[in-house]
Amino acid sequence: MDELVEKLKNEIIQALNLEDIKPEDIDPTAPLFIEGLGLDSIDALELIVLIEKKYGIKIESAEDGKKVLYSVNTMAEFIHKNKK
Amino acid sequence: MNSTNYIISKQCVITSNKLFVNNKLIDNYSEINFNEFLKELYHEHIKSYPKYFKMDNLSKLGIIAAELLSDEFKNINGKNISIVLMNSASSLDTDNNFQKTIMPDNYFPSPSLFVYTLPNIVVGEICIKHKIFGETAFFISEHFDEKLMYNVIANVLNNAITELVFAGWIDVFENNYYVNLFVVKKNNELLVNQNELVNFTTENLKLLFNKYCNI
Repeated sequence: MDELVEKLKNEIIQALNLEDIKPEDIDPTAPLFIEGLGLDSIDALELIVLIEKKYGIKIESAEDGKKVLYSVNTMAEFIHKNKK
Repeated sequence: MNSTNYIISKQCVITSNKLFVNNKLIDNYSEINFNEFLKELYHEHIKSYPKYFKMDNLSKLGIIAAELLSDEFKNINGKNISIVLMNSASSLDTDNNFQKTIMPDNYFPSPSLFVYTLPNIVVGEICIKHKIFGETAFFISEHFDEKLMYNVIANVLNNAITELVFAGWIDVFENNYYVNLFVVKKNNELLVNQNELVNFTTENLKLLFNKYCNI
């Protein structure tokens, strides 16, 4: 799981063009939106695409999306549980 | 007040990895590629606006040029500032990048690219950063149309609300780009550095545009 969290941090930085942010700057338990990295709604859509593209998993509902995209850890847990 | 009372008070040109303000070379990065050049300009002139890195190249160029010209409009209410821009490639640079994300064998449409697939998004980005609320327009033209540009700017300035227009050419396609933006405003007695001011005429717009075309 730790390996997946580290991989995800790098993928998020790259996908969202988070210049000047290093993987170690990201607290895997911190909220990704508003607080933490301060991501916005377009970033949320980009993360949904990332999960589908890199891991072949679709987030089926907005409600699931809220829970899955809460933090890097929740993303990793979702991917770990649903990876084909 | 008619258009003979209007002046072009400041100009910013970005081309061939060089940046000029009022004919003075400010930055010259000959050894780096376009993306690295855009990053250098950010660190040199913007510094703390992370959203810059999420923008397409058209918006990045607009944000840099607006920053370099912003001292002209920092004391003017945003509702009294207008923006009139023009280019030939529209948003084709970003359209192409977005198209790569919707190929049938690799269909993952990028939301962050999609939101920049209109040329006037750069206008919105400049408005957000500098709190500009006036009239805006973006024209697509094969070549710089100085007559159209003159007429639109004069028309906007003839409106009592507008005090200043941020205008010019901003074009990018792949690694080819040419930005020539300037500020046109109503002349008044408070202006001190008269030597730097250029009368707002169709001929001067053409001269200002052509001067840097072949650098």
